[in-house]
Formats: sequence, structure tokens, C-alpha cells
Amino acid sequence: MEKNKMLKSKNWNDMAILGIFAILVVGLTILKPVFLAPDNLINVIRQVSITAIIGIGMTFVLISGEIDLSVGSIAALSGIIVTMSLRDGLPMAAAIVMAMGAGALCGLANGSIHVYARIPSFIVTMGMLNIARGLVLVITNSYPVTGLPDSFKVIGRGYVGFLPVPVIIMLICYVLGYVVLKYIKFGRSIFAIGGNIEAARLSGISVNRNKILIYVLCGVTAAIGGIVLASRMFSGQPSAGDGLELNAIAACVIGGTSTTGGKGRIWGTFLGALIMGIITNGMNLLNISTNWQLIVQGAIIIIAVGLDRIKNTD
Amino acid sequence: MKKKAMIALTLAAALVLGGCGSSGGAQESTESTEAGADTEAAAEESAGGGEAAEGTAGGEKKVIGVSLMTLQYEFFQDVKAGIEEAAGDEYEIVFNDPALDMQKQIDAVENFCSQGVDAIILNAVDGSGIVPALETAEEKGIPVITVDMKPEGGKFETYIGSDNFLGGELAAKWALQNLLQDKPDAKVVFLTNPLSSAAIERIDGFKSVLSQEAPDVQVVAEQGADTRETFMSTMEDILMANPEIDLVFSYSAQGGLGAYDAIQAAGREGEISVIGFDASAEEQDVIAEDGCYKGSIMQFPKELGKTCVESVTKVLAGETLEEEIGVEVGVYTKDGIIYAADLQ
Repeated sequence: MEKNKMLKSKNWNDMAILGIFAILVVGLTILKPVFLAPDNLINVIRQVSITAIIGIGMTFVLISGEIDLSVGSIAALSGIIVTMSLRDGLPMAAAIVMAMGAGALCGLANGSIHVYARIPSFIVTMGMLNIARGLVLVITNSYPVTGLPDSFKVIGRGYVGFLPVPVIIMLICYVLGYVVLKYIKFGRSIFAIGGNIEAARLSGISVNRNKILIYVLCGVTAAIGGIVLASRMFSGQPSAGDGLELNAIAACVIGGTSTTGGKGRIWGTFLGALIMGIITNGMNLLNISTNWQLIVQGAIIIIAVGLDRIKNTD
Repeated sequence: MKKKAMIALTLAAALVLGGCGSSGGAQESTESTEAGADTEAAAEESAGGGEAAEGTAGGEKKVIGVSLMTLQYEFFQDVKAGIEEAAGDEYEIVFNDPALDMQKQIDAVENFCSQGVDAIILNAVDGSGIVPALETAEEKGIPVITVDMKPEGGKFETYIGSDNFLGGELAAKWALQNLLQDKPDAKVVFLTNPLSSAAIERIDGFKSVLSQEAPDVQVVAEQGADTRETFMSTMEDILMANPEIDLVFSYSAQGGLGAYDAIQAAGREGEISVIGFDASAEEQDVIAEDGCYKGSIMQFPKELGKTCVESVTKVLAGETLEEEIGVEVGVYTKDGIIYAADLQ
């Protein structure tokens, strides 16, 4: 009895994800000791930082019971805006604000169309995925944006002490995301909307306003990810961020966020992104073919969600 | 919740299908008028050409129908320019740009056939989709020269393409002579893309030279990716796993540039050289900086176009062509372009 209860307790699910994580770390360390070298660990965290940042907004959206497929294209759009502005001599702060503003506007459009035109978020954001990518191609004429000031490198490639700047940006975003979700009324409303939208409405939560705000936030985190990505490439690549939405969703679900809403946690998303990053990194270190990496990543997503289901079926 | 998801999916399906249907329909109708206009224009032109030819003492000009998958990229514009230059006054060109739409290209080839062109130069949108159009041409007895995309069936006189295998071989030869000459046991990394047959040919070309001329060179990693950012991450991992690397050969510009980003960020540009493929504008800029990006394999699209027209001339003269014609490539370096003949 006691054991059965354990199996279905909330802690067990947390343990499962941490367990996968621990097995990966121990296994890879045995197979390839360089995996545990501080340089490599920092390397992995830096590699996952972009997916992890974008995953924050995605976690909010998924908890509210919706989805956002446009984050990869929004990341590309903001990357192009920041690099074009810098190339044309705008100060860095202004360029970054413009890029984040573009992300917020895309999110505003996603959210408003979804709630006011009553179009499912899957459709609206699938449309935005194409619109934002199309805008990028139109603006750049499919050519990468280069000729940037050296100072822009700091965001994606710089260090403060031993910590890479993208990791610091990611940590700040996570602290903010955690506080919003846990301690701010808006954060609790997101859970309420995702749990039972009618009950949320009846209890006086402004569902529409909150949903729009969620999409704006998701657009902003996508833009931050896009700016970091552009700096890492030190150029605005029109094809940047292709498929990032699926990586972000995978990070969320591996981390225990439900795709049907009402349930999720911000640190789980970070762990989910980290698990996927470790798998890629470990297999690259072992020189295992990319084809196998795809299979393992797919399996991990299904296993993680499967464990989640065991816990949820009472 | 489930119900909602179902509705969403149904709507999505409806949207996608509806979208395809309507846009397909629209394209078809505009296409048929366009094609009609094309044919008329071509007929007029050829009639005009005929009259002109009668007027002057020369014989009637032969007509070549040309369809290239798109003109969106510089590469295909250069192929077209090569064809036009080589055609000169000798041939009349009827040109079609299907803009990556397979159906438009099939229609275009059928129009060429009913127009009775003397030969067709074809860069297929899709290797298998084009087969029915090749059959139409065969029925009419019109010779087809294919370029840069090899059809998976049907009859065509020859396939003309940049020699990918040769590109890999050249990269290896040039690297052995200019970068690794003092390192018989050099450590090499390949960046590839398992979904691209061109990538596999390029890497195989490189490996074949290694096995003949430098059997002690070690391949320490061979990994695939697709975008510049994924190549960068992959290269970061490879750098981590391998304290010693001498050379990275990438099948594409994106791979080379992603590796270059990673090597720079790791501060190992003094030790590792990079060779890419395509010699894109961005690659040429980086090569000019004289850092660790040493070279990139360059294709010559104009040469492809020229070879097409030469092949048409041969076919019309009754010659049989080789099944495949590989057009030369070169190594773009900071000191200029190096050709196969320079690397004996």
C-alpha cells in the first residue's frame, strides 16, 4: 500500500525526471570522462540556454492550456531586427528593445486573434509561424545580416567570471519566471485558466486579458532567445530558429508540464532542456551518428510523458 | 479538453487542405493562361525567327526549351546566363521558370513538346515528379538534357552536374598539400548531412583521397546537422571531445561557418583549419580575413549552363553522350581559385 501510494505521489514524478537526469550524467561520465569536465558542463548549459529561455514562455502558454508554434519564427524575426538595427548604427540598447518589442507585438497578435476571433491557438500560431518567417525572408531577401559591431558578441559569446553571458541571461529569466508563476496573482491565474477555464471565468479572472498577456510574454522570451542566438552566430540568419518551437515544447513536457493545461513547473522546463542538451552533447562526444540521436531524443520525450501519465491515472 | 483538441485538429486539417486546394486551383488557372501566353509568344518568336532566317540567307534557328527549377537563387540565374551566352545567335531559347512548382514545370515541358522545340534543357524541381514529363518528351522524340537535378527515371540524353565527388577530392588534395603537409597523422573532422546525397558524395570524395594518399590521417568525428546554429553546437561538442584537431571539412557553407563560429569562440583558430563547400559570399568574406577558414569548394553554374548547350549541339549532330557529365569545380582560397589541374 505504502509503495503504491509512493508510486502515485507527486514526488515520484519529480524523482523520475531527476532519475533520468542522474542516469544520463553518471552513464556519460563513465563512458566519456571529459563529459564531467567543467568546460564541457558550461558548454552544455550554454548550448541549451536558448531553448531553455524560449521554454519559459512556452511553459506559461502550455499551463494555460494553449500552444504557441510561432516561437522559432519570432526568434528569427527578432534576431534579424536586432542585427539590422545594429548594422545601421543604432545603439545596442535601442536595437534590443526594438527586437523585444517585435516579439511582444507578435505575441500580442497571437493572443488577441486567439481570444477575440475565437480561433484555436494551434491555428493562430501556426499562421504566425509562417507570417513571421515570411517577414524575415522578405526583409532580408534571404541573405544573412552581417557587418555587426564587435560589442554585440558579448551577449552570446561573452563571459562574466566563468559563467557565459547567455547562461546568466537564462538564469535571470528563470528567476523572474519562477516568481511570476509562483507568487504573482497573474501566475496563479494561468493555472486556474488551464485547469478549468469556466471556473476561472466565474471566479472573476479576466481570461482574455490574461491569455493575451501570456502570449506577449511568450513572444518576449522568444525574442530574447532570438537575440542571444543572433549574437552567438554573430549574424542575422534568415533560417535561424527553425524547429525551435518543437524543442521548447519538448523541454516543457519532459519537465512535467502538461500539454492539456493546468499543470507545470518552470524549473522542470530547464531540466527538460538540459536533459535534451546532455543527450546531444553526450552522443556527440561519443561520436554516435546524428541519426541515432534523433531516435533517442524522441524516445526520451515519450518516456518522460509516459511516466507523467502513470502518476495521473488513478 | 479532448473535444477541443479534436475541433482544433479538424479545423487545422480543413485549413491546410482548403488552403492547398484553393491555392492549387488558383495556380493552375493562372498557369494555364501564362502557359498559353508563353506558347503564343514562343510561337510568334519562332515564327519571327523563321522569317528573319528566311530573310537573311542563313538556315532556320533551332529552338531549345529551358526550364530551371527557380530563379530565386543566384546559382540558377548563373546557369541561365551560361545557357544564354553559349546559345548566342545559334539557338533560340524559350525559357520557363516554374518557381519550384512541379506541376508548372510538367506543363511547361508539355508545352515545349507541343510547340515542337528541337531540344529541352531541364533542371527538375523534383527528381521523381518529372518522370511523366520525360515520357512525353520521349514520345515526341525530343532529346532532354538534365542539369543539377538527376531524374529518377525516364529517358534523358545525359545528366550534367557539378562533380560533388571531385569537389571532395579537390578539398582533400589541396588540404594535404597546403595545410597538412607536415602532419601525416593529422586529425580530421567531417561535418555532413545524412539527408543529402550530395553531402555523402562530397565526404566520400575526401575520404577516397585520404585512403590513397594519406592513410595515417585519422577521422576523429563525423557528425551531421542542418542549420548553422546546430552545426555550431555540434562542433562545440566535437571540440570538447577532441583536444587535438587539425582540419574540419564541411559539405556546406552553413556547416563550415558554424564550425568556424565554434572554433573562434573556443579560441582554437590557431590550431584548426576549416574547408567548406559552395564558396558563398559570407564564406568568401571570412576566407579573405586570412584566419582559420582556409578555403571552400566553388561550383561554376555558368559552366554548367554552357555545357548544357554544347551537349544539345552534340545530340542534334547525332552523337551519343556520356550518361553523366561532371563539370569541374575549384577550391576558392585567399590566393584565388585552384583547379584540379593545379593539384596533380
